Amino acid sequence: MLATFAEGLRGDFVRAGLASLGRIGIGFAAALALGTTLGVLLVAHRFFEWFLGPLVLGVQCLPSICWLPVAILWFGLSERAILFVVLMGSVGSIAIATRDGLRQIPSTYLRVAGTFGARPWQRLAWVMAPAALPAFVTGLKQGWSFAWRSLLAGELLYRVAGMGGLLTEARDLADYPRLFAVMLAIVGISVLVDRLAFQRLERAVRVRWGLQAA
Amino acid sequence: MSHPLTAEPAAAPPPQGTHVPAPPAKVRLRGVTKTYARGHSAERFAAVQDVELEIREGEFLALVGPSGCGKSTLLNLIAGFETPDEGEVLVEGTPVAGAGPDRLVIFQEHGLFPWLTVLQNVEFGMKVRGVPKAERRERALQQLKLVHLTRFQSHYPFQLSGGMKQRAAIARALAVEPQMLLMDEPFAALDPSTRDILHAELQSLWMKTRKTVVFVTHSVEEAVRLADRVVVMASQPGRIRRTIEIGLPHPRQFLDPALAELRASILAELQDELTKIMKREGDDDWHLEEGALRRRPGGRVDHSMGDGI
Repeated sequence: MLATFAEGLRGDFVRAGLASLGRIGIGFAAALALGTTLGVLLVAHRFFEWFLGPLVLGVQCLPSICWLPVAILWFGLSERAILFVVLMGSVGSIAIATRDGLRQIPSTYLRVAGTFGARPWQRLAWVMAPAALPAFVTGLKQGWSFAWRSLLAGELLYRVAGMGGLLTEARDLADYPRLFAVMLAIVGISVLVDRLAFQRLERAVRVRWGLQAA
Repeated sequence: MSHPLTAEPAAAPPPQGTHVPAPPAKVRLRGVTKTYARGHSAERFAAVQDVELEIREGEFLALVGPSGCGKSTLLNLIAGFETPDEGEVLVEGTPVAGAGPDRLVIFQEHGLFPWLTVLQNVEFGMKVRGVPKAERRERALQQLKLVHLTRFQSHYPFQLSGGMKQRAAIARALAVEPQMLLMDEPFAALDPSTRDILHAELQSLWMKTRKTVVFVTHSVEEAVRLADRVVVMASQPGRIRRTIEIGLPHPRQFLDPALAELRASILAELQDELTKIMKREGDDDWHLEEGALRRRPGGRVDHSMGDGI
């Protein structure tokens, strides 16, 4: 299995991994845009909290594979179906991270904005957004791990280029060493992205915000 | 309307019988009452009740009193963070509608933004008001010079000591040239020697700028050292107990015996307020004796509650 793993690293694992990362990049970007917007709305007005709050929580609680049947009916066996599953799998946790980040802003910051006469957009852009950033970044990390899980579920839908595709292929051939080698590679990619991207980002923000020693 | 026997002190003629009309009040609180819900019950308590107060232009006024006397509530009402349930708060004759940069608040927790450098923090208020970048920078640097923080302009707040943070917050406030500074226990979290330095700095800043200052503190010592006029408040319900003019010239020194005398007389007057606090916050074996807070023989005085008023 390790031999298969090593061989895979020289060729098709890399290609498949990049294909998967490209896909999750698109899906996660969409989840980020939608989730952040939803999170802001949840804090912005009581109506949205009442109306969208339970919805977001529901989406967040639902395992992402539950979206597979709907995705197939709506989008067929297509790239869009996979992206939809990624979006639904991670949007809830990003919305909740945004909401919680905004909610835990120390009231002194808001009062400072008030006493300087900041207009609503200035308060949002220059005070609330940066004040919520550390909590938001921590939430992103969780959102990404949800997105990654959803992606792999989605990639098992049909034969695609990507890590899921490699799994399907190995299953069809009943090639156990390869199956486990692919699984190892999947773990490797998640650890790598978490360490290289999210932990660094989180740390940089926390150090800059004075929440953690450099 | 105003019955002669119940005329408020505010309506009294100016001192020395001069015929020069008193300058119009910068801030006027008329019959101000603010209530809050007690916990989750429907019962409400008055944080301040029926408060009458006038603050003169250019005056340094201290609001002092025990915890729960409503001094911070009064400040928040003037700042526009709160609205009165009864009565009105007028600034230059106009009722206060919300917070604004003409009445700049300085908070106990300084409120510097941790993601901005000291210089960027001082620029914040000017940025909000649309001051062009070059002018903003220049004015911010001037303010930093006034509070002796030029050397630390590129530092982030977490790299500063408590006293430096508070000086940066003062620079940020003064940079927008407010008409009034509202200071809410700004030095309460600092150690005594830092506080002493900041008292000296604040006095010199005030003597240069002559801004109207409302300074909330629980320290009688701080109030008599800094203020032209000390408003002593009482609790349950929060109200003004007495107003004392401090006629001593600025800058005043920490060890000025005249201040010690004033402080002692105010504290003596507030004995029953201390008793109230003790009954609310202390054990039954606390009791008051000759102006000092002690425990019964054998007990240990673990902190000076008398200082905390």
